[in-house]
Amino acid sequence: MFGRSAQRGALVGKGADGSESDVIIRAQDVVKVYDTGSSKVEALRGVSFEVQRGEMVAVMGPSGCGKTTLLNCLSGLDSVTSGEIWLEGQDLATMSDKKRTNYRAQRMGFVFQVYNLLPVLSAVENVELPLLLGGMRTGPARQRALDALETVGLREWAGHRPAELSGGQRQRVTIARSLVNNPAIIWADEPTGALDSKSASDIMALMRTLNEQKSLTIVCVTHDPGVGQQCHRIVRMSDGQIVGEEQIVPSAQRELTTAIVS
Amino acid sequence: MDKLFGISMNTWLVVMLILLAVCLVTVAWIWLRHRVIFKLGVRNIPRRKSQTALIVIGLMLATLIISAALGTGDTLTHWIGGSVYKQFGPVDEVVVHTSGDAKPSAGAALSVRIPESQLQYVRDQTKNDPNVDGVGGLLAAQSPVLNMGQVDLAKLDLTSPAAFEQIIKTAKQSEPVVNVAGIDEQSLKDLGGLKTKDGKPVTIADMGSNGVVLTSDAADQLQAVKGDILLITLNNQPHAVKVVGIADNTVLAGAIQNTGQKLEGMSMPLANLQAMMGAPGQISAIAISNKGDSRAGVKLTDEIVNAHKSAFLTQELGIVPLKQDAVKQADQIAQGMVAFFIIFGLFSIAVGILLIVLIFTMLAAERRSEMGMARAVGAQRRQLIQQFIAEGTGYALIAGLVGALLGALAAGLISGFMGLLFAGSLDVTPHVTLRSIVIAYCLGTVITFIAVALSSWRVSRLNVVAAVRDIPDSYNPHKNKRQLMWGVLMVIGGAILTALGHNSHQAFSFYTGMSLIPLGIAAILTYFGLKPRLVLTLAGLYLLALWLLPESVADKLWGKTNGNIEMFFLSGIFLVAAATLIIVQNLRALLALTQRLGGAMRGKIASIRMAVAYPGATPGRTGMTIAMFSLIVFSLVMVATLVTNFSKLFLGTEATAGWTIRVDVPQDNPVANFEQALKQRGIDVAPIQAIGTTAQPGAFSTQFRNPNGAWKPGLVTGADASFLDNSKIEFQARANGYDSDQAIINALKSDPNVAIIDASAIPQGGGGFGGGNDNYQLEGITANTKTFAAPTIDVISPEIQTPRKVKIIGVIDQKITSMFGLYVNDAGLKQIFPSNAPAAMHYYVKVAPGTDTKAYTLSIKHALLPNGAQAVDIKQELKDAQKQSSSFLYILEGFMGLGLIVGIAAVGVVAFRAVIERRQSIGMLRALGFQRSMVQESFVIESAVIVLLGVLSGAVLGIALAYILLTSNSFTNGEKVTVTYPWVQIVLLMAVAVVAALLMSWLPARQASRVHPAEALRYE
Repeated sequence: MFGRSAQRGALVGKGADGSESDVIIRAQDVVKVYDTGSSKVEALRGVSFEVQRGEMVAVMGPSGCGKTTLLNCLSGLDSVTSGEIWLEGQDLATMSDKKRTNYRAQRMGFVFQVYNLLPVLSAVENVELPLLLGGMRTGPARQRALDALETVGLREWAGHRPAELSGGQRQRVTIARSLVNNPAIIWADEPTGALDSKSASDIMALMRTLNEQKSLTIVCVTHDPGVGQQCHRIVRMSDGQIVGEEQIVPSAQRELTTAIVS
Repeated sequence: MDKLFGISMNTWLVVMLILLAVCLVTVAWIWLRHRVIFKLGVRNIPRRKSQTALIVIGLMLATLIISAALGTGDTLTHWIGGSVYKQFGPVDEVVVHTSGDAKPSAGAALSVRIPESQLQYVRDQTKNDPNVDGVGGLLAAQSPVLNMGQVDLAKLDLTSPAAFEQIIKTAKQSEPVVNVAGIDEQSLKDLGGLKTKDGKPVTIADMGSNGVVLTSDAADQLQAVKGDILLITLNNQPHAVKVVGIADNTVLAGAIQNTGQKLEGMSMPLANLQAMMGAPGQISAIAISNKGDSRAGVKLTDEIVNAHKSAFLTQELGIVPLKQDAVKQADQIAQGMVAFFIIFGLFSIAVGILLIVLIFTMLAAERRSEMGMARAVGAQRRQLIQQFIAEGTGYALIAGLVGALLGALAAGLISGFMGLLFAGSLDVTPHVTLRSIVIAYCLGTVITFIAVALSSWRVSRLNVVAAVRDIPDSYNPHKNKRQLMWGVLMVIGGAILTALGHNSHQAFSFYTGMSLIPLGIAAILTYFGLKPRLVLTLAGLYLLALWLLPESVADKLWGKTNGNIEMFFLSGIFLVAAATLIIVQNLRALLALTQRLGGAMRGKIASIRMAVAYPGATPGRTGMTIAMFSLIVFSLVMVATLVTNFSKLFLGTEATAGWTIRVDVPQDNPVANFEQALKQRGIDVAPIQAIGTTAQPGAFSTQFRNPNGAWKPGLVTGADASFLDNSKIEFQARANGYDSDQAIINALKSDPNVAIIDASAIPQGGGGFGGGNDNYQLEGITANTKTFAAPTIDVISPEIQTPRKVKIIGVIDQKITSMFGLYVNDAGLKQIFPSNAPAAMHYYVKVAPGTDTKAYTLSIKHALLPNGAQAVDIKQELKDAQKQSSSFLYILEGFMGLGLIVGIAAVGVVAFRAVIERRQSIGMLRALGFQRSMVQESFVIESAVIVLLGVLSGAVLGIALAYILLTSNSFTNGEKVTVTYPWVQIVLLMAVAVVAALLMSWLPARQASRVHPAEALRYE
């Protein structure tokens, strides 16, 4: 299906028939080779991939299959060796580093396994950082950051530094930071990897809610089948290639969520 | 240089070698007992070459400073000492007229002559002394000299004053004061003979009836060559002489005493000079040459002086150890300079030590997980310490060598600049002894070793689990028993020191104790759970208040305490520590402040916030870097401000005592009626408002003593009524019964038995810089005295046998630096110099406002050239002195500024380390939307914030302490003083520090901006 849908997208952002489609992420024949001088490692070998606006997609596969590399390339954190990546109708390759960085600041949010919060800033200061980067005044930025923390249920922890928060709380702060600038896409790399099962299910429930309420597009790299089952679609990878995908039925999601929570 | 801080340099050498040996034995023991640990430590040295280079630069500073200071001392000793040996040549002692029981003084030679027959007496007396090589007589005088060039001597008409006036207009070059020495054939032979610069011997016969030999300084100044005709004036009679040769600046060639910064002189046959001076059969002094060469002979001086002084006294002759005194003086100057540079270098050394601690703390942070693993598999804490000591000693040994050699180079530069400043030429050959280099090397290495050992001990205290997982140590002061112990120790130690200092009135002990107590209390309170921020901020504020307390308040609170130059260093250390504590504990407040910057800095707010947040999260390293800059800037601001204010005070307009021009007239060519002489030579005297005269016969041949005290050299000046009436003399202390300055002046004019004295005769307390003080000091009067019971002191001159008693009725204000020594009226001077007192040697001229002082001074100078009179624009003279003082300040600032290099290196070390530590965060920031430029900007701003905090706190502290000192009672004597700050210098200094530090941080910042986000995020 991925191969087919990619071939269909002669014009990015448009369907095969030329009508406006809701494709927000489109990757075509993406190859990523790490050249260490003495050896070359092909991390991605011709990946083609599409994500619809508002979709929540899980990328799964064994360690070293290229999941994180794909996420880095799709989000513009890393460059590709060959192939094309289009985000919201814009070709990443044509963007300068500065433009790409600005695009990240305005249209993307990131959630990492190790939280990647700045230890020297409080929760609210961490959350408001993307807004300040966008040039927002400090007053409104602080209010928006507090609202975001409210959304993730951490309003009263706003003044605490990451070291004073639990793993689950830190990840909530990361999520608050990722959604504070109303992004189009949230990239999540093993968002529950460092959490216990209770916290993991809370985080996934939160992400699911945000996806539903705010129509956020979420691409989530994970090992955890439980996490994958909470998404709309699971994309499976192996040896740098996409080897399959499955659509998840909503009822199954619900059952699984219940099972995980219990 | 033989001594430093009163301790022999050889003792220093032995102690330092022993200490270095102890360090090396410790390392050898580690190598023998724990070879693996040793290897683990040492192999780190070549691992990262650029890091090793940075560490060596940081560690070498202490050695460099010590080496530079000692090297400067060596060079100065060699230079000044060398010129002394060269000048005096074979002459080791001089025998002069003396009187009473006063110590013989070489100055007597210029005021009291002795019969030539005494030469034979001295020859007879010393002929059997195996230590004496030769004896010779010298007649000394001073004369103005005109170089007429290669003219026909026969055609010079010197008989009529009018013809002479015409002749002098054609002079090629002139010098107002040149020494003239007369010597006979036998004396010249006995004293080793005279040679020209090209090595040819010159005899008295070669000089003939009108030949002279010039010193090379005189030849240079007069632009004279062999065959030139010179006009000299002695006893107010012009004489033409011919240059027959040019010799080195030696006594036998006429280099009897300094003429300004030069040794201008000439020598001629004794009989010729006697005839010119109208002093037949008279000489000024008898020179004695000891056995051995110029340097070896001086060692026999004590023996010779002791052997003959009693016999000479019977003939009213005294023997002066001329060369030995000059060599001692040279050594004292060098010792003083070394002590001066070391004390002012202490700040840089302290900064160097901070860098060592910082470097090792960072190294430990870098190897934390490695160390945690080592501890986990069974390494003891002491083994970690040993590993660091092995590594640190390696760095220290290399750094010591580099520092010692660079220090020697710096010494050459400093000495060169000082030569330029004080001798008018850069002709100083660096001379650093191996002993000094070894001492500096040992001392620097030992300091580094101790700092390394202490830092290693500190970093070895790690939580194994936290280290292995590379997560932050959760240090909690609360319940930390070691902290409690330190707190208690500091309180007890502080209390003991305070009590000791209070009882003995010693400021060092008292203030150290008073400063340790609050720090100890803070440690105890945090142990019991109080918030460190609050407690340490309060401790810091208390320290600031304690050290910035005005003297008057401090005296009221705990009585007067005495301190010396070491208090400057101590105050700097505690003030900077206090300010750094406050800043570091409140960095979060700065972060909160960025919230308010919103509107103005919208585009930069994210970078600024990051730049402010990180220093606050690493208080240890931030504090150390801030303290480094703060210390250096503090010391530089203090020195610059103090020197500026001293210059203003002592070289200000009040120093002139209201006079405009001073005319110095040589004793051998007196100007009988000054105003008349000016008129005769065509000078319009209308601008002259007042003329005062003073005379100082015999220069320092006079001596003073307190009742039951010892004789000390001093200067007596006789002043006429006009001088006393027209001088703006203020007194800082008046004798009882004199209720105004005018009352003192009136008494002085009328009573030959009273005198006034300048403020340098008032004991200041403290020992200065090790040079010792041999000048006369009054008893019972201090710098704070306002009124006193007039003491009577003894004054003696070579012309009187019985000491003359004078009553001191006033102490001249210290601001009037143009007045020096003891002042009596004309009649009083006549009592001290009954036969030879000239009417005037200095004319003080006050001219009407609006007169072109420079031009008028020059016209007086030209008019009185035949007399060798030297006219000086007093304000210009003060300006020149100020210029010299500023130049010396620049040398000192340059030396102290070495600490800035360390501060800048520290910024580099911290920034490079930060790039490694924050790699993942940088990746995340880039993912969030930080541009490359913003990452770079954030790093540079971070360094700027740290450096600015350090520089600002240092500058504020320096300005504040300088104000407290300069307005303190012991400095102002209760007068209202306006403190002047050298703002341009201060701002320039701050700008240099900040810009240099920013340049240093630019490289790591660039490196940070190039971190690839995807790669950085992969690191966990």
